[in-house]
Amino acid sequence: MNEYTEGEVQHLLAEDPRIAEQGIRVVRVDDGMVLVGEVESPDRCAQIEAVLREAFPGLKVRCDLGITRVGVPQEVERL
Amino acid sequence: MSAIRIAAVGDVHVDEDVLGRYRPALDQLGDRADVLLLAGDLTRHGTADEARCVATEFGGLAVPVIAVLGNHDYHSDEQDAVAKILTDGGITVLERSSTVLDVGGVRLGVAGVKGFGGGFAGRCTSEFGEPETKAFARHGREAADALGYCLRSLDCDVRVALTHYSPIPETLVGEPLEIYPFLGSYHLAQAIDSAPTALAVHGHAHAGTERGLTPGGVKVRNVAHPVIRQAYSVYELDPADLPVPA
Repeated sequence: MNEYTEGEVQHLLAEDPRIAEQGIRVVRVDDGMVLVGEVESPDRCAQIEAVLREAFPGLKVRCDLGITRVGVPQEVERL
Repeated sequence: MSAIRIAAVGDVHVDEDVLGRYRPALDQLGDRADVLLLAGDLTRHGTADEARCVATEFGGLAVPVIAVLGNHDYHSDEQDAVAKILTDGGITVLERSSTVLDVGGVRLGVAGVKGFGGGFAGRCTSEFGEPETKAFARHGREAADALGYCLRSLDCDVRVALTHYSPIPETLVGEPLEIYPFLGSYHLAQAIDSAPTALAVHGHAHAGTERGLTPGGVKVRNVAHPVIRQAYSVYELDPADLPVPA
């Protein structure tokens, strides 16, 4: 994957209405790319992978995306 | 006067697939905080349908909810409908405006604005050149001016500034330096420092850092959900320790 493809992927992540994510980092690796970051639901991980595979069929896409935790805070910060 | 506990989160990007995820933690808010602040990017694309999901997820809580919108909430040009749906759901939506709550006898004032980019002192846009560049710089400056006016006009005991964009670069650490001008503006910090502000809360920078200070010493917290990695953070302010109006 070259720099121009990386740029196209970044545009797609933000501008494709099925994704609309601006907080995902694209990491170029020897055999393709890895997406790193966090999203709000498991459905969104699957959707991102599907859209990228559709747009770049020849590119190996791996997702290392987490689902942002929604636990109750364990502490209060006193300011 | 007793201490005030402020819960806050931003960038929750709610749509149907998120409904119910936050609710177990939100249902405990009454025991943990006095108010919940939402720091923008409440939706994915800024549609009315998504706003209804936000109102469902964050409505009917045991504490008052105060929000500003973020850039995602403007994406479909339905920001007015989004704000109305949230307001109808019992959420106070601020944009170049403020509100005052009585929290156990303490008057908590919150001034809110989406804010905008522009960059930070010495490395920022100016109103010069093409109309598009001027408009970009002007929008950020006008938003900051409005925030400053709202903060200075508040009649309250404790002032909090709520924005989507960041007022300082410190809470952006972790983001690529090249995009800082799209993540915040130092004019917001100037506005915050123009009043005896106790706390400034923002979102937007998913890869940023939670804690920072304005040049005037006001504590700033980036509560973007991927930064705090919990349903909300809680900050306690003791009015006895806060700045006194000059």
